[in-house]
Amino acid sequence: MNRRIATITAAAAVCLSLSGCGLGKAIAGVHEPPAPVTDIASVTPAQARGIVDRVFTAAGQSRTGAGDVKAARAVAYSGNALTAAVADARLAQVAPQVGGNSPAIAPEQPRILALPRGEGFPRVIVVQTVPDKGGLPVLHLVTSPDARTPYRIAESATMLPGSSVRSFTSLASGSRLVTDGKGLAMSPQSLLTDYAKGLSFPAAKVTNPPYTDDRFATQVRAGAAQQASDVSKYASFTQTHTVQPGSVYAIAQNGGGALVFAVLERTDTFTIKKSGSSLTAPKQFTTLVPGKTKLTRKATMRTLEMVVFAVPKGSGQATLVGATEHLVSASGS
Amino acid sequence: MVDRITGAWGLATTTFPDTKDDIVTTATRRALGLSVAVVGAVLAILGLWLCVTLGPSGGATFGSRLTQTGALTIEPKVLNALDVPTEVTVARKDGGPLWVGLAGASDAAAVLRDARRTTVKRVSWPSGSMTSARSGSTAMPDVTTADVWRVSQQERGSASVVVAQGQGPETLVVAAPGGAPLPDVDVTVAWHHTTWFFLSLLLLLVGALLAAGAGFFLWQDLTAAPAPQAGATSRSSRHMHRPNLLPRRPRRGGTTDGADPADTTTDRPDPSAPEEVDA
Repeated sequence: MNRRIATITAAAAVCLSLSGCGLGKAIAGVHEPPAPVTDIASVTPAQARGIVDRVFTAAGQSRTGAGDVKAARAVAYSGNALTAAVADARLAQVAPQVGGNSPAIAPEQPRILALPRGEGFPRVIVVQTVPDKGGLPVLHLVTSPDARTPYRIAESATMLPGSSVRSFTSLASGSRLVTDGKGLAMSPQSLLTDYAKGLSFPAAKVTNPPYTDDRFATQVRAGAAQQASDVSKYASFTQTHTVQPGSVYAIAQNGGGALVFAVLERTDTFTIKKSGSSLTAPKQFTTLVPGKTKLTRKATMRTLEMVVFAVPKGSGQATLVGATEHLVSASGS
Repeated sequence: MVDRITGAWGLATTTFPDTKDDIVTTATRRALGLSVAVVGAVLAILGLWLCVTLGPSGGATFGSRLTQTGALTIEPKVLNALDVPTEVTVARKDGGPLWVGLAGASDAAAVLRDARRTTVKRVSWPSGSMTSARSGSTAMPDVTTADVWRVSQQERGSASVVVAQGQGPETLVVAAPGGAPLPDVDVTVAWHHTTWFFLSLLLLLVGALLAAGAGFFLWQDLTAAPAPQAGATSRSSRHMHRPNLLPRRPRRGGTTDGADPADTTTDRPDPSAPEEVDA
């Protein structure tokens, strides 16, 4: 009899405890909100697809001149890319190719290579487009600086012939931004500073450059030497390159290493040697500075160079995989 | 010799009830049985009520009409309180356009900053009510242009969003397009957790079994023994219901089976039986 009573009492106690506490939050499965998930992409692939479609459709509209070009440009570009797009549009009126090898945008073919990871800002999306009329692919950096500002193209660079970009982590996982250069062969900022120094004219010596020589640097240096030679009788010519503040973004790649986007500002300066001499301004100069056809003292032309480097992990040299230049402003007297 | 052995067993039998710790009063036993029966009945009723309330899909719904000052937000404490999808439906009272966006909690907070809004902080069950609070001091910006929204949609009149779990804490923002003030909206939050229904069913069964078992025990106890005196030790009833673990005194004739209680309580020898003597 006592055993039966004990069994019934125990069963009752279990049921009471279950009904008292168990049917509460624990049994119902109610819990506190989960901790933020930091190892997934901040935007879902589907969400990113919508963003990229919006941005590149607007970019296409701004280039074709359909509809409200200014509004489309504001949707598509920001910062240096917006400056370049505005200048390209002005220069295209007088010389379509004068703005440099401007990336052709094919809205129907954007391919998302990397998505941002975590909750921090800025966030970047790496996109590759292939021109619909053929040609080399273009790498784009699409950025959102803060939660309220939508994604827009910040930098674009045409890939160099024969270059390649290693894969990123999956779109679902997202790719983190490398802000301190940790784990890389060199700091992205120091790489760009050295690279800018190596491009200057007259040439500055860079010992143990952290980058391999490339076709773009060769062309820039050759172009500077040619201009200096062309105006040597009347003017001196110098060319400087500086890293645009806030333009360096390093996106970690799968297995180590990073793809580094950056913008350099090139300043070409012509200084007339003899009083009474003058230089005839080229078409692109007069387009940017209307009415100024003769330069008697000094002329400067400002060009944005958007470059993309592949930086290895650990040790080694960085390799330029993409570069594009845009003449954006000029001044002279 | 045999008789002495039998007598020894008999002594052992008579000493068993003297263990004071095993003695439970009838009143205590019946009170316990009654308590268990009542608890079982309560659990069964509760389980039945839960089954009917939640339904076979295990659904819990909360609703409220909220008067707006800017936007409406629903916090992670509500959206991510369970590991099942949360269904949110919002409807503008005036049938105007409505924008709904779902984002990570930190992203939503970064977009809204100090904008005026009403926040659903808690839901209560079974009342189905919501607890909300107003906050913010600045005008509502046009949040629809931000790219932090994992899910967003613009509808006229009403809109529904299903919040899947696994993306960390999330916040749902309901606003009028273009940052316009949002008028009164009806908000409904629903969870469907099939497990809830089966737990309720289990509660119903356990409660019913408990009530039935305790009821049977009480019925048996009341019908099988005379009513005890208050405070009296119920030895007779214990002897009736408790299995005797010790061998019973064999009847004269050499068997221990079939002895009735009267045989075990008398030591008087059977005068008709042949008397055994030692050799």
